[in-house]
Amino acid sequence: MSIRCPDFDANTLEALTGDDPRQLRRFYVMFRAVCRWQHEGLRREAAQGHFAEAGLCAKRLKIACFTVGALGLGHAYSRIESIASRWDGAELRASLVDIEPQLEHTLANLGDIAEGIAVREATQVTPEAEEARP
Amino acid sequence: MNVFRNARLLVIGEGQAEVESLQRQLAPEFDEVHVEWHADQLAQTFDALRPDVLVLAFPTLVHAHQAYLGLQLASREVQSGRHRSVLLCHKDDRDEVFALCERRYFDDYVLFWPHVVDGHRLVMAILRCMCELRRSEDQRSNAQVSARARDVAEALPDLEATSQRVHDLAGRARHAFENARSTVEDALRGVEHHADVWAPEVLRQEVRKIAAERIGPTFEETSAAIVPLAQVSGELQVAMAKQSIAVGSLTEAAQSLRPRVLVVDDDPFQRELISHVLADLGYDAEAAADGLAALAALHRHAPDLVLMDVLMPRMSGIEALRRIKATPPLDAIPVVLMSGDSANVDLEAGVLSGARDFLTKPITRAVLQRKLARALAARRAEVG
Repeated sequence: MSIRCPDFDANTLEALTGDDPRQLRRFYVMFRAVCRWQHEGLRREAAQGHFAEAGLCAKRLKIACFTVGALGLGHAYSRIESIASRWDGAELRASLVDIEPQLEHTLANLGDIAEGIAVREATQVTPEAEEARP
Repeated sequence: MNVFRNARLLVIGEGQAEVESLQRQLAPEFDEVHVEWHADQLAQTFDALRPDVLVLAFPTLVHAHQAYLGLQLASREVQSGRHRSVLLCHKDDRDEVFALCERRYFDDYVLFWPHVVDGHRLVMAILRCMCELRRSEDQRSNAQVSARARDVAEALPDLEATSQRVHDLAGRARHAFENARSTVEDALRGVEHHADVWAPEVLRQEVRKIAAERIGPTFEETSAAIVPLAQVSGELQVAMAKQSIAVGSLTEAAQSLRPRVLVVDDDPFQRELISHVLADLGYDAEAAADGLAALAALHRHAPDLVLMDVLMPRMSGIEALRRIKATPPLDAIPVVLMSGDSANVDLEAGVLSGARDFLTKPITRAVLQRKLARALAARRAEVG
């Protein structure tokens, strides 16, 4: 698997965890769940004006994104972390609105990749099956 | 017969009557049952007594939780984790208490309120805690033995190479000596032959005298030194072969006892990911969600290394590091800090507090591998 685009590098996670498809899929799926949950936390903290906590959420999201190779989204969270550190409520809210389409696009992309891995695994011919062929 | 009769127990609660009643109940089974019901004295009493088992007898889980958390924050002895805890709980709190015990926040629980169903259950819970306490001490010894086994296994190839080199050098020395002797003997025979033909009798006698009195003894002396060296190097090789088989078995055992790393991170994704990478790199990874949980885990089963995030709720990585470094024998365990910001001043504070090294997140496999190997090697060198 080698998918490269400015916003996403599938080799990043593979370089960290190894090339076992099951593990790659597991971490993509886990990332999607954790990312949604942490993004909700970020929105909640930002809405309440908790800038330090919002900055911490953005930092966690940034690290998680860079870990799985979601570089574009990672940079977007990095900008939000920086805005939160300036205690700029209006810009923080605006940037959270701006990031939504990118978040959805990235999570959908990762969902497709995880699904693709699952399909490849399901259709893969095992050595035993190969031997059993007439 | 109760083999843990000499266990030291501390019963804490909110009411004097309650804890003293428990003291009377436990006294026939255990020699040392102490009680404390003054909230402001709990940490002081715990530090003075250093109990094996702490019994928390509070009417609600919230009260017990608050008291235990307060103890953990105030008492260095509690943080050292050389104790086990039994919670007496209300039947309505059972599910929540079970979850806390599963996460190893408490070690065991006994249904106590609104009434005691099984009077022996508390004694059994304490005995079980004592068994686990002894086992964790044994495991600590096992970890040290396995670390030594790994050291021996790693040293063997060098030792074998040195032995082989000694053997080769001794062989070459002996060969060179034999060559030298043969060359000199040939030369002397040549001189003697020429002396027979050309020189007077006196020259021939002089050559024989030099050969018999000076060259011969020198060769004998050198031979006496070199020949045993070659024999000893041969014997060393035979002995090394036997050791090699023994160390081979030890290596296999050591490999099965992989270095243990405690991963401390409140982010479940990072915790899971790093644990997976560590397992892939040949480490046994255990995980804790914050500094307090890490301190508890450290005492249950001391790891070879702690890999800890800086920013965490309840207790930060820096605070946990300070407490680890202030608590022998935990202070000897190397701690590597992780942070999402390499310029974070906390990292400087961490290094000043005794962190062995630090990693910037997102981590990379190569850096993680290199830093852990270096920290563990430095630790082995210190111990060795």
